[in-house]
Amino acid sequence: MNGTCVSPRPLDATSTPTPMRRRDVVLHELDGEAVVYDEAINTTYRLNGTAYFIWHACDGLTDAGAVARSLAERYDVPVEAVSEDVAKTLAGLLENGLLVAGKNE
Amino acid sequence: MIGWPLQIVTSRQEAVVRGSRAGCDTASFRIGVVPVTIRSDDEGAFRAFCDLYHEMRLEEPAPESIDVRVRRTRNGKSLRRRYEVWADGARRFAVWDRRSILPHMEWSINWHIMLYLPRYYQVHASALEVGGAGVIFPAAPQSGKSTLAAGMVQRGARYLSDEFALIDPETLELAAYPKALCIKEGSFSALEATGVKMATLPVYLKGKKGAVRFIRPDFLSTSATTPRPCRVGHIMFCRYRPGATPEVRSISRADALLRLARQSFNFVKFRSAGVNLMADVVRSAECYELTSGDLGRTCDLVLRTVGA
Repeated sequence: MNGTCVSPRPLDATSTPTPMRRRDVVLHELDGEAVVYDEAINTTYRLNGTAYFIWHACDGLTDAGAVARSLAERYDVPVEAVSEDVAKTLAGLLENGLLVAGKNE
Repeated sequence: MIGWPLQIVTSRQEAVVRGSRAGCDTASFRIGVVPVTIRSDDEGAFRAFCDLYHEMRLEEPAPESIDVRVRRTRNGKSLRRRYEVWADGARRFAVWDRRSILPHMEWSINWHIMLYLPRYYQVHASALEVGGAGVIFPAAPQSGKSTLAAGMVQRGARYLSDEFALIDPETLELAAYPKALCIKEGSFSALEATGVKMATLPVYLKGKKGAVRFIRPDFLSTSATTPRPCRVGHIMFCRYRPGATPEVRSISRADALLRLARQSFNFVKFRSAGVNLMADVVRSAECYELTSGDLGRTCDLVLRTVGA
């Protein structure tokens, strides 16, 4: 048999330290929020302003700490104040398949 | 053997009924963008339909006409008389009471719009034109869409539909399907209170939805059925709460898009094209959540909100 059979592994923040936003979805930015449509599973998601910022920051090279720092900078708050929310949001985005493994993973 | 008409369906648009009783009446209509041909063994239902839509009657069936057929039959075991409502060769309903025929004819037409009118993006909503702008009220069943539309038409809004917001994907304009407004029993008194002579209208039975009356839009206002071409300018997701003070609050466009997707009949057919279309719609519309209560006060609030 040619090729390698790879078992799908569930993505989570531990196994995906530098997640990357999916490019194969339909994205509409509306007044700072976003609507993302995943045609493969015919599902639509609404991301509020913060979730959209976090999702957009996931370029496949940036880890959760860096995302938290840039969010804290944007809202001018201590990074400790947003770290937990960033982690939860990343977990939710990974769980719903809107983020995939990063470029170096 | 009881005389049971033999039905042979040769194609979707060509349902040929052989052996049906003499006296089956036929008429064709164009209800806005929806062409319909009805054939009925029951004269009462035929006349009632013609009365509701006589100004939309055609000499000949239009192409792609939805073919609605009412057959008088008998139950095979009990021999009890019943009426079957067919649409485009498929039996949709069987009812026992003659008062149920007309609502089920309407139901069959709506069903087939959902299935076979792919040109338009369809949202479950009542739709009006107010001051040149489209106003739609998307909502789940039993949310008061038709009653609200009736109240608005009384106040000068022009009527597009009480069931479908049909959006043309090319122009983003709303298309009219000005069917008779179907008012459920729970709203009879609310409309009576605003001056609609509900008691003069026949009562029909619509299955579990109970008693209903149909109102021709021009019964509410003489200018009801002359809407101008319009795009959606205001989207109001409505819900009825008995006794509530009418209230309107702005919602985000992303929220509105998601709610529109939930209320769409043919989202699955449009998929990403539908999401793109709805994004275009919400970008050029004001989006609200409307809690409706007293009909008159709700309509006044809506008119103030849309700037009429």
